[in-house]
Amino acid sequence: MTAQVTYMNDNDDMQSLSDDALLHTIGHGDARAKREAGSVFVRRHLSYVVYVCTQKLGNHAEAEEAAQDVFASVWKNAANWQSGQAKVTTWLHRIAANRCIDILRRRRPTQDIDTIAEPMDENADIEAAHQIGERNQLIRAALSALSADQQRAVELVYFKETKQRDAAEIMGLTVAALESILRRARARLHQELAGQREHLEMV
Amino acid sequence: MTYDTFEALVTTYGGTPENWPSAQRAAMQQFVDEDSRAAALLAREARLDGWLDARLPDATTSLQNKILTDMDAAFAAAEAADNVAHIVDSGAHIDAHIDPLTEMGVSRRAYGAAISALAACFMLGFVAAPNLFDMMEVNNDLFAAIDIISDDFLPTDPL
Repeated sequence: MTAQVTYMNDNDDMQSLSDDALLHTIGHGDARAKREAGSVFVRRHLSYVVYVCTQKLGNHAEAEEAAQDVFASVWKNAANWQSGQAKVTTWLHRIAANRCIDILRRRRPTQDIDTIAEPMDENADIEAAHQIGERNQLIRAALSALSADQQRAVELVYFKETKQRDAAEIMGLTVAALESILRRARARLHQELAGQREHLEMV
Repeated sequence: MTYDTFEALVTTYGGTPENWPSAQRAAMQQFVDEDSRAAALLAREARLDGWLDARLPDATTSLQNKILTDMDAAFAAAEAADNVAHIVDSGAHIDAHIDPLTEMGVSRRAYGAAISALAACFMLGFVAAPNLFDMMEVNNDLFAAIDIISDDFLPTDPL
C-alpha cells in the first residue's frame, strides 16, 4: 500500500517526515520536493550506509564509492517503494550488501562467488546493523536538539577532544562560559535521551 | 570536595576521568570512592559518554556533496526521459486522428512521426547530455557513466 503523504516543500518540515514519506516524496514529488526530501534522506542515512559498506568491504574509500552507488539506486527505485513492505534501513542494507558483493567479486575475479564471505546469519546481520543505525539516529536527533553554541562546544570538547581552554578560545568565550554551555548541553542530552535507554543499549 | 563541586565538574566534563581538570582529578576520584551518590552520578554521566561515543562517524562533506550532485543529475535525466516520452505520446495522439486510408494521411503521418522523433532527439540532447557529462566529471569514471546512461535509457529487460 502506498503511503498517503502530502508533499512538503519546506526543509524543516521534511526533517520531521518518516523514511517512508521521504521516499514517497522522492519518487512522486515535484522537482523541488524531490530534491529537499533527497537531501534530508542523505543526511539521515549516509553514515549508516557508509558504516554497512565499511563493515563489508573493510576499506573506507571503497565504502564511500559503494555508498554513492547505493544512493543512485535509491533515486532510481524510490517511485517503486511500497510503504510497509520493509523497514527503509533494511532495504538500504540489502542494496548496500548487494553492491558490496559486486565490488568484492570485481576485486577478486578469480575467487569462487560462493566463497565470498557472507554473514553467517543474514537476518541477524541486518538486525544488528539496523539497531546500530537506529541508535545513531537517536543520538543525532538528540544532538540536533542542542543550540548551535552547544553543538559546537560538544563537537570541540567531546568529539575532537580539544582542551577546554583552546575550545573556549576558538569559540571566543571564557572557560567558565564554555563550561556553562557544556553543562547545559549535557543536561539537554540527558533530557532528549531519557526513555530511550533500552534502544540505546540493545546493541 | 563537596558533592556540589563534584556534580558541577562531572556534569560538565563527563564521566571519563581523563577529561576532568587535572587539578581536581585526584580529589574527584577519591570522592567517588567515598560517596555513593557521586558514584551513581558518575555512572549516569559515563553512560551518556558511551552513547555519544557510539554514534557513527559523520560522512565527509565531499561525499555528501557528490551524492547530492549525482541525485540532481539523476532527477534531471529522469525528467528529460519523461518529457521525451510525453512528446512521443503527443505525436502518436495526433497520428491517431489522421485518416490512414488516404495518401495525404500517409504523408502527414510520416511527417508527424519525423517531427516527433526530431523533437525527441533535441530534447534528449539538450536536456540530458549536460547532466550526463557532469556525472562523468564528478565520478571521473567513463565506464560508470556509460553504465548509468545504459541503465537510465536502454531497456534492461528485453522480455
